[in-house]
Amino acid sequence: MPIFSNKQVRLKRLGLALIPVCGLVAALLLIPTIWGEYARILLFTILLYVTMALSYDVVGGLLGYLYLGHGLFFGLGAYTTALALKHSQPLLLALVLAACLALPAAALLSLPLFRLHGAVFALATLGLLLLGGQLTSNLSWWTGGAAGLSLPPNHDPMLTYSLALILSLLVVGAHWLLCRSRLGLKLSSTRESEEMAESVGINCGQVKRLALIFSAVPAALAGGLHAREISFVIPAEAFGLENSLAPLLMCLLLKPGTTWGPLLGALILSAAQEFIWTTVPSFRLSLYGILLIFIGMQRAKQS
Amino acid sequence: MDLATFTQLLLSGLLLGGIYAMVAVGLALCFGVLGLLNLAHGGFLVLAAFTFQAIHEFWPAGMLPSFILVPLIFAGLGWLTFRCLLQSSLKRSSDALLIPALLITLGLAFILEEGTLTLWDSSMAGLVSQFATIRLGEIYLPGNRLVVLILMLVISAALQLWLSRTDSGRRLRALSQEPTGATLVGISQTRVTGVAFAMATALAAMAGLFYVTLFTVSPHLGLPLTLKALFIVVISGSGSLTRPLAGGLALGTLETMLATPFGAHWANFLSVALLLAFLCWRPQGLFVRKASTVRHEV
Repeated sequence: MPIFSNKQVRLKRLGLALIPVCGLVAALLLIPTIWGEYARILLFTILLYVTMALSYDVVGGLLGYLYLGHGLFFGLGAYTTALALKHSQPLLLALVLAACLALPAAALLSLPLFRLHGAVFALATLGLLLLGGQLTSNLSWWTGGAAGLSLPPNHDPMLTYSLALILSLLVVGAHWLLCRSRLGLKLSSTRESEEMAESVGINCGQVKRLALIFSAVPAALAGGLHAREISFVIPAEAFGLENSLAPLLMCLLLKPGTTWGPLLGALILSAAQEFIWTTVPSFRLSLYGILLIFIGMQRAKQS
Repeated sequence: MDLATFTQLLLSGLLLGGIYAMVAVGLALCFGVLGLLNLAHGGFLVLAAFTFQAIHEFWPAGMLPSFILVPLIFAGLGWLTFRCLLQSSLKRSSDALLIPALLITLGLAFILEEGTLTLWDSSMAGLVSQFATIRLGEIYLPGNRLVVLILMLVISAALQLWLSRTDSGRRLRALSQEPTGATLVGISQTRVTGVAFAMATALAAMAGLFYVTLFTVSPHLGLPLTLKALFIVVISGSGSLTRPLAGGLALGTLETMLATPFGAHWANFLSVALLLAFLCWRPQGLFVRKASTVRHEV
């Protein structure tokens, strides 16, 4: 029976694939205990970048929009978590709150946003990001304003690290499954031609809404973990443009719309950042600028 | 609010609006001809503002010549930028051009911002008034504001004259109205779009000079300012310079009026929110009929 044996082969492959994954998880959990705090912080940052890049890819790669609002959900998650921790709630509850807030926010925002296309969509999402930062610093009686909000110290750094590891593994797995699922196919058909997709019975509006939700929730969780890790949130950083741009660059650098592309992009870019920011610290924004120009010119040649 | 306060507010609002209008007109020039949304516009503005302040500090006699010289230099800079970075994406239709050009100009905006931050240690720039304050009844009109207001009117009039009366202006309008037809009758797209981009950058530089005379400038101002002006440009639709001009003036007035009851931060928030709402309500532009929405679809 070919179907049965096919299934067996697939199960076997899955089992084989699990071995290196388990090894990787064990190594990632062991490294901080061996090499100490610097390695933990570096790996934590990379794990968050992987999460951000892959969740960005759902809208920016699979759906193919130029999307600059990813930082909005990062900031939303960061502030929700920070406020919950400030009122001495446990970290897990704070993260659940952040995810529960990001979900309806993404669903609501998708209604006006996806009326727009192309460059105007990009501008509108950028505007939303700036608006989020402005709103947070305006509500100063609640969020601490532009000066930011200090949190109680982080007593269990290994917990945040493990949570970041779990989150990034879940996002990588979910993205891998998404690429192979019906919804993933619907996403890429919507990217290729909306009219064609509609004509074969795909509800494009719903697909886009789901995509935004799928990309928003991990971003909010990453924001929450980041807030816990550094125990400080400030609008200029939580809603900073870099939280949108870094995932965008990581996603577009190699091959958007695949799992390995953004994953590898995140690894490369975080390594480059670690190297450049420690050697030439005043070169922070220009690195992004040069990469953006490079990607833009590359795309101009292709299209 | 009594009449004197109202007039005072209206005047301040028109001045801020005048800067928005100049930025928006420069951007509309690019958008109309190239279908290009230039995110680096505000970066040029801030750089020009800081340059002007440096000239004011180290060579006070050079204020007047630099008023001509700085925009000229920036026009050259704009031309260079266009030639090196943006021209390669020109061969496509303007719809496909939008996304790569947006990425390129966003990158440029970052480089300009960090360049300004690195070149100048102080993070703020502002000039002291050069002219006496004029008093009309209960209304106080600072001299430099009056000069800026007059200059803005002169520049808009000159731009309008250039577009309607000169050959190069006509070429530009022809290209923005009907690219294929204009190319067929022998208008060089590369040259005209390059001129448009250089003009827009010069306008940004002039707006920067005005900005630094009226308010204080920080290097981080560029992108939010550009975004507001771009929203105005998209909402007013392509093919017109008077609509973005009016839109800029209206936004400045509205922001100043809102700042009195709500404070400057909330006024800024409300104005951006309002622009975004307009954009989502009528993505193809407020004044454009449905049939001609092709430009925004990618």
